[in-house]
Amino acid sequence: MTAALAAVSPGDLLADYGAALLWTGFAATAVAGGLVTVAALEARAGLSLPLAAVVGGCAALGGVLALLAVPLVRTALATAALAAAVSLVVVLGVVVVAELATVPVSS
Amino acid sequence: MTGAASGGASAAVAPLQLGLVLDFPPLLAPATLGVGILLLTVWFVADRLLPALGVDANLASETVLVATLVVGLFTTAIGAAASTDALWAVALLLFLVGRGVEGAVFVRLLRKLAHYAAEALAWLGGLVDGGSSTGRSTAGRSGGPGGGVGGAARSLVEKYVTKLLYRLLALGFLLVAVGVTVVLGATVVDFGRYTIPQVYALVVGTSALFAFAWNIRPALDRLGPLPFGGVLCCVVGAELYNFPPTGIAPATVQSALETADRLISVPFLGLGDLPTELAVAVAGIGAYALGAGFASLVVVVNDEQRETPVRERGRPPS
Repeated sequence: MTAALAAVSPGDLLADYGAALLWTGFAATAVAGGLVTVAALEARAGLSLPLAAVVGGCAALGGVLALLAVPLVRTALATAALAAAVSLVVVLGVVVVAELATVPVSS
Repeated sequence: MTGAASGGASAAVAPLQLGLVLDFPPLLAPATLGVGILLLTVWFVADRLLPALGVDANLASETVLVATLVVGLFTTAIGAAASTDALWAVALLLFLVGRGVEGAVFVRLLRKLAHYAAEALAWLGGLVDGGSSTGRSTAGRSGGPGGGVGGAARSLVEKYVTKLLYRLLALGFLLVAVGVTVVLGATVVDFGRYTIPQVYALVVGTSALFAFAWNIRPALDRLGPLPFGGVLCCVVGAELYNFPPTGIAPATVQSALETADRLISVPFLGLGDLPTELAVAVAGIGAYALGAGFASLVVVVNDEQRETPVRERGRPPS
């Protein structure tokens, strides 16, 4: 009986996957960061797509290499991601509550 | 089956969340909440944050970019939390946000009731006015079937009472029919470890989810499918969430829970070490009240802003 309750703990379930999740997150953030850089360079700086892709790819690759080589970068990015996620969730809660409150009421 | 369902000694450690009633897969509640938060975050960043920063994020490709970035950010954050003792603090935060959204939904229900009450008052006002004018204009005659008090009463009955009765009848029929079906079905279907009341509770809970979606459907038109699905997932996830009480969780989780206890306990009241589950439930009620209070404030400010131009339009030109 209590085994089922103990298994409910996500801490228990995710404990072995912390590192895997961290690296998956790093990879996704690097890919997204590179793509955002490409889009920004193309739209804002007026670069052609191939050139923007090269610059964005280099930026993403540089980010991944820095993550692999320097532990401080990993710690900093993980801490920043945690802080950003927590702040986003709080802001989000406030925004969603405000939006829900102003949705018109119909009979 | 979990604590309260099994009764006995384990009932003493029964969690307070709905997750107790049925043995949901352990990751269902956090995953549902996580999906809800992700959907809401993608919507928030693409629809609100980027436009506020002057970036046009209406294109599908840019929304995909934002979604990838947000997923990467959240995966990193969960990975970082899972590698440390912060995971339960993050879980508690998600749970509290879900409760806050539930509070806002409650305010929406109150607004709906207020809307009905205002319409009923307007009808009563019309009834009084119509009755007196009918009395004046048709002095000496009884009110005709088409107008006056009789007409107003008939329109109220047609508009509200009949509609409400139909809905109540349909709901009652649904509940009884589903109950009878579950009981009869139990003779041929093996529910495994679950009892008939548990299965019935699950069916009614599922139908309540659809009713909730129906209730907040105006939000779908206004906000779009992402936040609509996000709100549904948040509320359902918060309802299913099942914090383990102290004593069952592994040692690392327990230390994090004790930290959370210290964070949310009120030392000057001298409550000492509250059971984690009780502390979480109290914090959840606080978040619910906070969400409801904030939503009420928004409603009041919004209504005032809407009424001000109307008053100014009504003022005669100087």
